[in-house]
Amino acid sequence: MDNTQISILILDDEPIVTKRLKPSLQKKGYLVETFTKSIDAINRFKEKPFDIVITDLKMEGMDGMEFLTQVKEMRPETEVIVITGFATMDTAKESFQKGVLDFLAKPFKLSEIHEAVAKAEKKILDQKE
Amino acid sequence: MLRKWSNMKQLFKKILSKLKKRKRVSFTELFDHFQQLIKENNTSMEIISNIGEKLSGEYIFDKHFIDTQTNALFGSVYRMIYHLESMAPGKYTDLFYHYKKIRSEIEEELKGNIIIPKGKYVIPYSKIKDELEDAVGGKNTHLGVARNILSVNIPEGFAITTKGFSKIVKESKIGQSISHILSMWQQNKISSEDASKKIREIILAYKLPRDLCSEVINHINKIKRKTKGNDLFFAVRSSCIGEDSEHSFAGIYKSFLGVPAKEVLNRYKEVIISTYSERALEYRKNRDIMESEIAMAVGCQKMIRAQVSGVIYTLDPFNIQDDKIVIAATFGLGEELVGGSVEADRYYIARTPPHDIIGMDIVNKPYMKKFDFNTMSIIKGDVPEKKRDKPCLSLSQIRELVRIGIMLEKYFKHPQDIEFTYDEQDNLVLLQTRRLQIEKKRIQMKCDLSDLNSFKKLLAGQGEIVREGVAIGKVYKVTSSEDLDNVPEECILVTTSSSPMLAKVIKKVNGIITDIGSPIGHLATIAREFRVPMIINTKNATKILKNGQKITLNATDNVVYEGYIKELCYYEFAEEKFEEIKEYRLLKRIYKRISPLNLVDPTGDNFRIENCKTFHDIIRFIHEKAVQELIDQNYYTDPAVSNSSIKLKLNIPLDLKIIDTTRKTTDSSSELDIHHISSLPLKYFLNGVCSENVWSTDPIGVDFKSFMSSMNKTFAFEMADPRFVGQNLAVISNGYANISLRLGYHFTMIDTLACDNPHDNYIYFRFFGGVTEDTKRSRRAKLISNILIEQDFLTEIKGDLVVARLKGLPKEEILEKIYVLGILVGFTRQLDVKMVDEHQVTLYSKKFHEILLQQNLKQTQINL
Repeated sequence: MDNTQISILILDDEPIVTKRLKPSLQKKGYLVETFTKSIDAINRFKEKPFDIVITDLKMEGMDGMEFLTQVKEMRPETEVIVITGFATMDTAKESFQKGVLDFLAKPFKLSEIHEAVAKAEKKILDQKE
Repeated sequence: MLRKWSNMKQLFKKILSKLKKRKRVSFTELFDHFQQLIKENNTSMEIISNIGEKLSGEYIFDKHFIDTQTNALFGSVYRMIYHLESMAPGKYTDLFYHYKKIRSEIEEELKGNIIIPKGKYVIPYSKIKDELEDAVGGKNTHLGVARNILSVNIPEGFAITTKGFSKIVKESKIGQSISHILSMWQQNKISSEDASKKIREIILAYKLPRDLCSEVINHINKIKRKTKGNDLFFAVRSSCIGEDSEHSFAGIYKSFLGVPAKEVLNRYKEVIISTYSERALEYRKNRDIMESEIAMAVGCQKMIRAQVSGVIYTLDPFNIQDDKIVIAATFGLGEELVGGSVEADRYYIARTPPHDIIGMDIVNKPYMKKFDFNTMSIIKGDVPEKKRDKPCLSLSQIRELVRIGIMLEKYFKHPQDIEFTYDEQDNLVLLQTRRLQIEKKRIQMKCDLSDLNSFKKLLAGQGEIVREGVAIGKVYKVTSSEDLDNVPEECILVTTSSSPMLAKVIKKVNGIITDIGSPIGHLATIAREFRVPMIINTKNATKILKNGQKITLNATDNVVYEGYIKELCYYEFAEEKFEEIKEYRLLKRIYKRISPLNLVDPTGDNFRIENCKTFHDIIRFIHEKAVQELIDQNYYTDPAVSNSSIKLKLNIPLDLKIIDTTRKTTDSSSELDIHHISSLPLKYFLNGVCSENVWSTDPIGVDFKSFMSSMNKTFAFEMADPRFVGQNLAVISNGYANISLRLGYHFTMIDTLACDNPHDNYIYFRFFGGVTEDTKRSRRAKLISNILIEQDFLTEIKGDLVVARLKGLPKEEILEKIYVLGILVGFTRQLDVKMVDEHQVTLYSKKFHEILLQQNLKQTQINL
């Protein structure tokens, strides 16, 4: 593995989402870790910074909005993609205000998340140059 | 006689009083409800197709999606019933009952309770498909799928579902004791050995539920009747949830061979007990499998008198790089073949078509295992001397095994470990198929995808994914129905459209690519059922791909590569199959309760409320009846509203009246010009009917026999249903049209929606009747059916009745098809008279083609 490999953290409390996203992104060459509890995810993020975070919004315990706020505070250069089954204009607006790069309403196509991740990757690489 | 008459009178009275009681609905109200109903109809159908689309594997969805969509559907279908009820008070009240029944079943599924068809505890193999895995376990599901989807021969038998297990182990009075023992064991207060022993004693002493026993006995008796007095023995096998998938559990749970009918229930109990054997407890503990996740189903299969038995590995797990299939086989039973205590022949076959036999290792086989029906045990017998050194499988048997092995691997998307046997009549019987255990490491070694970019991409991101998956094969283009008869095994089908005709070759092909097509049409549904990777709407696949070209179809990432990329296939093997995810199976089970359409033909005998099995049936029923109510009300019961339709001005003598549901009131005094019709489908249809040389005005001679036949017919028709004598009528709104025509004593009905969302669009076409006698009418029906099939309609023909359907196409394509229907209706109007022999069918088929060519479709579009 070379050190330019992009790392992705996925957080969604429904295992079907993480189960399906992980292999599909691994196949594209990303380093992927998945979580179903926001507390585990935030602890892991504190240990290891990730380039991209994909998170659901509505979850038990700490909700996605709070999670992504903390992520952005800790590491502003991490690109965040929101995936949610409760998409409203308000949540979308709030997410973008917090610096979220993309906002996908569930259900979405695998190709859509691939595009969003590619966009994030490009932004990260551009900033590195 | 007199009594009969008085009975009749009473009946009439009853009907009359019922009619009187019915509330009269004003026409404006009726219209209003009809419009609302159509709106809800479209919403419901949109939800159904939305759910269907998510089953392609291309989407990420969660439980929340399933909940919200089904709830939206509940609401929409309920409102449809309400609107129909408001249009015809009291007439269709039973719909509420059927709605509630289907709804409560779906709600049970959402709560996680699987509904078992007919009964509580037992499902015969003939009813098992993959969505029932949570009820019957992996082993049973795989056999059910092989039988019911892939048409592979399996032993007769049935599954005792996990409901039996739950009843005994969780819900009965012993349930508490068992869970207490398990929790003691989890806290290490007692050993696995003690826990296992105690649970065994408890279950042994427990009397099985009476209804479970009687269901099992019923199913055994059914099989007994078929075997007609011959000795009947069963194999009773464990089929645990999750067994054979990610964890192998090989040999952990008990299975029994040669079980006499009266012993089946005792052996069943033994299998249940084996769920808690010391080994099973340890095995689960070491793998972090929770005890609450465990549910044991059991398979009961009729024993086969085996001549030759064996196993197939569709990929040699020890030498993956060799890319070959291994078959090991021996005389008699194959039960101990894997253990190596019996000598077996080995056959090595290439995985790539045409599957050359690479090698055979034929050994001396002096002994064989067989089941002794007298002592009811497996004994070692001698193989006749002259057979010992001969291969136990013939070449044709090897071919058959390879074909079935590849088919099972293709369906389950993973190399398979298959057990088979040949019975006394040399019929192949599949005993088991499961995921072949291959070390992940080995697969990963084989899956270096870094070379992927060196392969030429022939198509990329152009199409729409109908069904995920990876397939390799040679391109086979289908342009005519003759091509369809010669489809080679394991090819990749490349066609211009997703015609329903292709469905008949689905089992043969590895993948499907089309230029255009519908993601919710018949072929798409079939491809998902058979798990055949498929992409549509590539626009130019038939131009880019060449016949015989070797390609790799990656329908997961929507790419077609030149050449065979086996690494991609191997990568797929290593991935978790989305079909096996819990939510996916739940959605599929729900889909089965909402989407299949049983009420296809509104003129058929079964088109009745009590036959509504799914929401789609209810929706279809309501839609049909609502249109009927509108038409009936308008013309036969309410003279006040008969003026509210408009007459159309046309260049042909077609007396067509229109009810435009988008208008509140209509000015019935004037005639409407074709250009001012608000409904696009009706416009296109009329353009077709009125186009040049289509509406033949030649007087047609009718012979005496035909004339007499028409006389009888007319009477019968008129007496049967007043609507048949009535007007040519179209009920329309912007994208919608329901057109009923009576031309020359035949009846045509078209119901269609053409709007911006392709998923909602459909055409329903029905045709029957005629002036002549049966054979001529049937010939015309045949002609119409042939033409419709060529136009990609899903077409059914019964005598002189033709029913054709099409759905999910973009607006423009739907309108084009409706235009063709217009030409068809005009063209075939009087043709039955001319159908003097079968040859005429071909002749007029050709003539129709010529007319189609003459009519420049684009020209019509400009005219509009």
